[in-house]
Amino acid sequence: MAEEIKTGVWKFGDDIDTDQIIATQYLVNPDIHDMSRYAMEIPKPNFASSVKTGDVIVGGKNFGCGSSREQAPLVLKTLGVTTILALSFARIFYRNCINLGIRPYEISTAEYDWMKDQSEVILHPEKSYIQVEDQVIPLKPFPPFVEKILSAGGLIAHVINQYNSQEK
Amino acid sequence: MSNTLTEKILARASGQNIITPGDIVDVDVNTAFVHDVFISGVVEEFSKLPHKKVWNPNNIVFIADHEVPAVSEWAGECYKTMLRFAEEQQIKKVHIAEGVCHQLIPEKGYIGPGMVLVGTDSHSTTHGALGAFASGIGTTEMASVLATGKIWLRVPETIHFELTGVLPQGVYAKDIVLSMLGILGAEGANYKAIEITGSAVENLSIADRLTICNMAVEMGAKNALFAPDEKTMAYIQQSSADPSFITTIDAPQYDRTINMHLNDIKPMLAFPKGVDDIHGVDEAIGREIHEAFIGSCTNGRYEDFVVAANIIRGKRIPKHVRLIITPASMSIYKRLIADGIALDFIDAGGMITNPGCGLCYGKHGGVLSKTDVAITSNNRNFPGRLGHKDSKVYLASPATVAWSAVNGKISDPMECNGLL
Repeated sequence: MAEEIKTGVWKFGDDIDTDQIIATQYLVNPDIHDMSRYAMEIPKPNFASSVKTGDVIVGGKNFGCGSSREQAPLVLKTLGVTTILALSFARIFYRNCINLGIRPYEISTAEYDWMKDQSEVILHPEKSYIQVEDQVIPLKPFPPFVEKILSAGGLIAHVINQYNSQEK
Repeated sequence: MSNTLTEKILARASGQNIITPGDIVDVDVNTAFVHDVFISGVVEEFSKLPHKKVWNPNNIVFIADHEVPAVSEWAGECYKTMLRFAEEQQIKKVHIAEGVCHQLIPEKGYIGPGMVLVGTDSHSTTHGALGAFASGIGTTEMASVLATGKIWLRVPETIHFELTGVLPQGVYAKDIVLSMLGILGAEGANYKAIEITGSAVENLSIADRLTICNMAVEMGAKNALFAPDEKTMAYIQQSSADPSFITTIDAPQYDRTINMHLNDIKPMLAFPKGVDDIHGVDEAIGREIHEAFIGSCTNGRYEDFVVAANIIRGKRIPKHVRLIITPASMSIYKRLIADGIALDFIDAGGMITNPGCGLCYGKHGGVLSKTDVAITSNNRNFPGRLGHKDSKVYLASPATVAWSAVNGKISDPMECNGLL
């Protein structure tokens, strides 16, 4: 059985919009690593400097609302976040996550309440569930088409795979 | 059978007879547009793909509207990337500093009823005003659309608004959509389609419908649309849009209908907390303002400036207020000059900027300071959206903005009935 991974939790409230994830003034920065240093600057100033690869973001309602800027999920991915749990996601942000290979999972209010900011949870490697102390949060599988994109590592890799399979 | 207009459009565009909400379909795109801020990202992602050529250069539109005139050393490179890629790929529909994407696209005839449009700007829902399926997407996704001409979509459930009655004098389409936001909230239509029908629709101009569909994304909607009618057909005849994608509408069945009687709507505001903190203007009367903005893809159209000019003409804006007028396109700007409306604003002490998105995304041409309070006709007021994170922004109709500018404080446009 694959080893379980202990991972940190970064918890946010409702309506975290893409301007808060990465503000407009930083979008001109051509270096995504440099830009990432300003992620979540307004809602959680220590996030960018302290988040670790594999950490999980927990959002409230309507996570990622606002502009379509793909830099929002991209700075999170650059900082090592590949799993986001939220009560709900804004549509464009949700699609952008999938297209970048980040897994967005919707959770219930009770599950949101179990997750404490800066706590440690156990993430099953196949990401079928998260364990929070003695509670288990099941992660609903994605539709097969979406899982194909996620497994490829994102849409670009998926489109390349498709192109190559058509060439053959 | 397919029922809603959104389902019908997506069924045709994916070559299927029957689709239902929740299905994932692969859809043919009719118009794909990219704006200046994201062009570099799209071109970079496209270069990772094995496709050497875009799927069809005639269906692709490039627009520079956010960064005009250039506000950073970076912007000039964006235009060059745009022009270079357009030339390599023989994309002819390229517009630099001619107007805001959500005005130019309808104006130039790039969108018509029944078509599928995707754009890199989140306010792409605007184009549903002409009976199209239109939605915003990210840069990676756009690269894939440019290569393949297709996009995967989950067929959305539909929320139906039935509009009846007549708007009172001093109340406008912006007040309708702010009222919708008050009902549904900032995520009330998340992942969903919005369709708007009813006996009041025939009285709504295309400009009104563009305003309403524009702000549908603030409710989280995937798309929003009005069924095409005589006004739509007259508009697309003038813009020379392709009418061949039109879809028949035979009394759709909706899961959920919200009735709105327009006679009951008052002038509305979104308070600075966010787009869905909706109140009547009467709850904020007398609050001092420092900036008044009329423009943007929500309310920067000719009709909006006629209303505002009728209120402002012959008056003088108080010194503590900066009035900023931003026509949504050069053709609108030219009409304002030709009709003398531009002079009405200048004589009142207002500033007229070139068409663009600068103020509305907090970048240039009216950035707010820490203690500024603004009343604006645009679509977003998230913390920091128009400048300093502590600045305060009230969203309102052009009439409310204009009347508040004249008084130097938030004011109810119903009080200036004689002027309207």
